[in-house]
Amino acid sequence: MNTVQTQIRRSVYYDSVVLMQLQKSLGALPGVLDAGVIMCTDANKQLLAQSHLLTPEAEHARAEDLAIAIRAEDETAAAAALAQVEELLKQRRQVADEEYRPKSLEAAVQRSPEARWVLISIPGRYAADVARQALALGRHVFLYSDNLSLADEVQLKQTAREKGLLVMGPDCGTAIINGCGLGFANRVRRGRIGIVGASGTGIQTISIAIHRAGEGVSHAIGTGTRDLSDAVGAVTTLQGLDILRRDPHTDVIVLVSKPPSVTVAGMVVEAAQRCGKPVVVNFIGYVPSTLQEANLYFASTLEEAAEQAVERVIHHPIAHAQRAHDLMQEPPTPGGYARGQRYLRGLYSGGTLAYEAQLVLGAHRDIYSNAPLDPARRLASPASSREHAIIVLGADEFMVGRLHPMIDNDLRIRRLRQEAADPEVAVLLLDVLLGYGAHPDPARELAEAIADVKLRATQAGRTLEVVAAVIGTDEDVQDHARQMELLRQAGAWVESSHLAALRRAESIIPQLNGAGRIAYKKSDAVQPVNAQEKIANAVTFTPVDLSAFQESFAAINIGLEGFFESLKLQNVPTIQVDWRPPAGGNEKLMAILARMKNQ
Amino acid sequence: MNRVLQADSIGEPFANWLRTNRTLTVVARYERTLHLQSAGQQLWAITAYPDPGPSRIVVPDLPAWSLGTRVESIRQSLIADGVQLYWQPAAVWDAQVRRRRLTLAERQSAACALAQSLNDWHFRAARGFWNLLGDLWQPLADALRQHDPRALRSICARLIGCGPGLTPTGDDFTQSLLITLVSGDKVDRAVFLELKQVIASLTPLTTRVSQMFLREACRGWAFGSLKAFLEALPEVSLLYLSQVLDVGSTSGPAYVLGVLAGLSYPSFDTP
Repeated sequence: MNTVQTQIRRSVYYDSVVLMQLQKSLGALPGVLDAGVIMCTDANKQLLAQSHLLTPEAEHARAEDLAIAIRAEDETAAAAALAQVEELLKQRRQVADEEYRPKSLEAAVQRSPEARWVLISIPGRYAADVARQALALGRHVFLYSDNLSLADEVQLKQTAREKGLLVMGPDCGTAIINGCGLGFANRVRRGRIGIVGASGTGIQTISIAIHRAGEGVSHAIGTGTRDLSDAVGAVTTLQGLDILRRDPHTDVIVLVSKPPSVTVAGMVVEAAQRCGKPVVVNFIGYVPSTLQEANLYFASTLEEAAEQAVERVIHHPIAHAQRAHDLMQEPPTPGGYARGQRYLRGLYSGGTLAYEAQLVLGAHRDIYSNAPLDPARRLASPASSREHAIIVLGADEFMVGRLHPMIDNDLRIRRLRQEAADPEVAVLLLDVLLGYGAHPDPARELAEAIADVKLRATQAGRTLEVVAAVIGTDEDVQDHARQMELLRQAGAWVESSHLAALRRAESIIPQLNGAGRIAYKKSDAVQPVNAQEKIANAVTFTPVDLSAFQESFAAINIGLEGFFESLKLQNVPTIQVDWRPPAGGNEKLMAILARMKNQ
Repeated sequence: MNRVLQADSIGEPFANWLRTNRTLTVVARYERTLHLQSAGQQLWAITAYPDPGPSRIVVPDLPAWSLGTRVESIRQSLIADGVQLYWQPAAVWDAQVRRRRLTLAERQSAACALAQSLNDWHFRAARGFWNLLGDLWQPLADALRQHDPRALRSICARLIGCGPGLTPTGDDFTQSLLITLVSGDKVDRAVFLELKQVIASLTPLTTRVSQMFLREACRGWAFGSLKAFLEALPEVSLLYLSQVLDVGSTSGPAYVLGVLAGLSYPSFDTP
């Protein structure tokens, strides 16, 4: 039961900064739920009351008195906190040895004028403003933040295009610029294949497959999920294509996207046709009318796209041993499933991999999802699954106020337990993505949960299969081999290729007790015509200066500390901005300032 | 005398008051500031913060006077426990803010620049005060514009004494609003006189230190960085602005918000 205790100090004088620091320190003590350190004026008593911190002692105190109020889990914790007040008051701020962090983007640019890239990963409602500032300062933007409005995205990208700058995002998970991985990139070798992707995990999967096949990546330009929508009109994709077309270090280009608008995809394909370099296209959900047309090569999976690109560079088919998607273990022994066990549930962090799973597994059966390829298969609620289902845990609806599942396993583990407890579930399918910015040891936490849910299922008379695709390279900081081994030890079927994991899952499903089959309805084919006008509009942009892709990479990071750390790990000169929401995150005050700012 | 200290500055009101020999008592000692109290319960300060004020003496190092020490003023000196703190006539600092005459466009341009700076500033949590101010902003602008003392009283009663710190954040805001108005044009000064009446009746609601600052503001006196900042308008001096913003914990942004309210109320209207 919560308890509130107050210490009143009569007619005392402390500096405001000391009082604020005391309040913060008290709030961080074990068992303390809230702390208030405030002078006992009538108005402040009301504030204490609103925070459920007002006690009779504080109520009777005078304006000159200092109230130190603690709400704690129990009386012991409250008393312990109050007992530390004197000690905490003696402490002084230790700032001298802290690394300098500018508080604004302008200050960071002044300090590091050579940094031409700004990485933004703050909450979406603030991100558009910061991205505008970055563009105004002449910087390219990597915009990891999601939940930006479509109008903001369109405006940002149009501004960037006019200025010859690039806005990669919003919702851009991955990019590789001049050998430097941004966001959730993997450590892959440099090479002659450039990627433009409206898909973070798509870029990761392709770049990893290229690396495994012995080749490398020149640049991978992320565009953000919605770039190939009608509203955005592929602004960044077309800029990216133009950059790679002009880049002397790129010989082959790969285009990858989550399901795009038919018209816009057609426009991009037209532009790709004109670029003069071989272009491998993998637009999820599209069935091309041909596998090759002039310089265009169409692939139906991410790994196939990578293989085709490598073959265009090496000018011969790649060796069987270099293909990533062969099964690493023998197929499972049939049997052992309880009568009602019929369904597969995929718990994905990556959107594109989830689409690919729906494509491959959905060719023969209904697959429900919170991000379905077929709108008729949308789950009524993302919180609960039905039948065969693929859940994208990195989708916007799960991400408000929460870290991405590639950084924090908590959401996935909770969902894993929820799905495993469903007696109709027989197979759980997971993607485990490694690389910069990602969880430092994802398999360790997941393995523990997997072993536990498998044991519980066995105790309940069921057999629960867990299939995991561990997507990473031998050079990633998480140690790819160890991550796979940890999951294997927990009893999972582990593959290093997503396609192989899908094939593994596909081999199990027929042994289950009959889930329905339907023919998957493919989307319309790409329309490469009737888009001339849009192309004409789209290509009238100021070309991005290639020097930003050829100079040593230097960046300013605003947001996730993990991105800053991974840049430091790559020896990239980086400044972390000590960013806080405007007006302390107070919406009303923020709106007032915004009105006056825009007068 | 064991030790002689020379003051960097002394506020003119304080220097004038000390022309008569007085006795003061040290009633509080912070890390870098001493508070002294005179017989009439009035507070004065000696501070090592290099920011002059009407009722303060700025010194390089604080005299080692402990709580309860009785300090005598003799000519241009304060003396106690073998320490003499003196000031040259040139160190007397004028706390009155110079009047400014801004066009509407200059006023709006300054408000716009201030809003931009505040937008980028790190506001520390203030136990709901920022939210309260957000709620009261429009009604306050309306009340100032419409010369409505009843509405002003009801709004200011919610601001005075509200917020963290020895000088509650609402008082900081009100203090700089008063000074912005008193140093403005004719209309601003008329509004100032109305607001001053209201505030005078509300000061008992807050701490004694804050009462002192509010009384100074009602006389048109400001501390050094706020005065310099206001006198530089319509140019928004980043140097002076950062000095004001850096005051205290939540005080700095509250002061700047007070200036913003004082500049923008004539044109701040519900969109």
